[in-house]
Amino acid sequence: MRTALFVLLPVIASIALVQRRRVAALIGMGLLSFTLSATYALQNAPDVAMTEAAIGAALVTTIYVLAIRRTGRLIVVADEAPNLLARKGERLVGLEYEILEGFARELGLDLSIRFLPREAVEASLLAGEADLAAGGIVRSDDPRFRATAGYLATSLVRIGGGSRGPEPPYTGYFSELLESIREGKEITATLDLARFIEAMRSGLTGFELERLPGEREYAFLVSRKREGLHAKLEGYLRELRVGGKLDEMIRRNLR
Amino acid sequence: MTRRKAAFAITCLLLTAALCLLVARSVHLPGGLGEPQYIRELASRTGALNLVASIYLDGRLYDTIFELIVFSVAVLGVRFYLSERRPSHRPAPIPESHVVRASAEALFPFLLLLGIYLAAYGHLSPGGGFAGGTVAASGLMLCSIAIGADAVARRIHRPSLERLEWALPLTIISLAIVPVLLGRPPLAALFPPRGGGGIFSSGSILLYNLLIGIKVFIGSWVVVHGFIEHRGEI
Repeated sequence: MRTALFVLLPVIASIALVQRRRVAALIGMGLLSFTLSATYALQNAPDVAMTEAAIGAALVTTIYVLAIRRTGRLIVVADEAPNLLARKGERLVGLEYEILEGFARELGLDLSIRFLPREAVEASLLAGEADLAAGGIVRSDDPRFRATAGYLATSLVRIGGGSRGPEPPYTGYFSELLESIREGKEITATLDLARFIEAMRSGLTGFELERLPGEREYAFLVSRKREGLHAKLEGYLRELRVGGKLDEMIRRNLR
Repeated sequence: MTRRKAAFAITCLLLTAALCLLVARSVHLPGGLGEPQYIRELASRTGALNLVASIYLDGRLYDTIFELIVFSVAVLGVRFYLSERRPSHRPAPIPESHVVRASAEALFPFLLLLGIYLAAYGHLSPGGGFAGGTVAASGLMLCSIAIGADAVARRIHRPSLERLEWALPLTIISLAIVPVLLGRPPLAALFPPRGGGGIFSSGSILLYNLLIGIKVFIGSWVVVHGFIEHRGEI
């Protein structure tokens, strides 16, 4: 038993060391402390074992949990965008989800996505409550944010509203807009391609449609204060594009 | 991972495992280390059933006092280096799940009780002030995770806690050193051990364990509170 524990110690330590996710590394450290504590107990040192368990496994672990709770997550705010970032049962799927998950893994963070109404996404990013905004955001020159390079071409389609200038995209959640379309309510909105296709599938008929001119692209938004994060995301997207992985992801998600 | 890196990692792993096995074998000498005379003397002098407690709170009390000073200096260091900083904004606390909240609220009283028990019975069973204080502090940290450290601070933090955090080691040092400096026998003589395995059986060890337990509990909280106050909610 004692020999098994002694062999297990360096193994657990190595497992804790190679973890990329901070929480996983922390669990590894706690496990190491427990094993060490058991080893002390078997070596007839119950006092040391108890102190090791209390300090190493309990106190230090809880303090680390407190410390990494905020820094250990990549918080993304988004409104649902079909095929890009959407719920499928209990899971999240889509092109943006795959990109963000890979990016979070590269940074060693846990991805945490909060779905918000369209108009609250930017406000939340401005208030510093999130690291990134995603969910089918069409790249613009908004000076309040730093947009990444576009990862996918798209265009804007105006629904209803005649030929008055471009309408604001829509308010609330996209799912609410779909609901209005299904109920046959009259709507005016400007939708990006991914959402427009979904709106067509939901029975969008009899509306005046107009494709807005100009080349558009989907991108992620980063707060102006987070230059480092912006550079890292740009680097990650570039890596995906050069390696051909991005094309593969697009094919997989947008067939 | 390249092949070279993997080979290096495996070699390190094997070497560490071999070292651990070597240590495991060497610390188990046939017949153990024997029982030196002073251990028997110490046991009869302090009346503590837990010999470890009688060593670190009687025979080697001054070592323990220096450990306490190291702990206090660490707490002081945190306070000192954080005192210049002020959080630029107070981020909103992260909402925790009901499961975590409910379990933390249910566990906290038991952890506090276990901490007090470990400190109070340190001379009779494994435990002691350090382990007891840490267990109770872990309960408090668990509550900080569940309801937010700011909320815990509003409920329990008083400026007097920080003063108490320094008053306790000074009390322990005074109890241990001042009588000797005045030419009198140390504290052990003020509370003569009664023996018999009861809670008051080993004289001053109980008092030291309780004081150390409270000190470790408050010290751990003061460190965390320092981070909350000067770096924002964590």
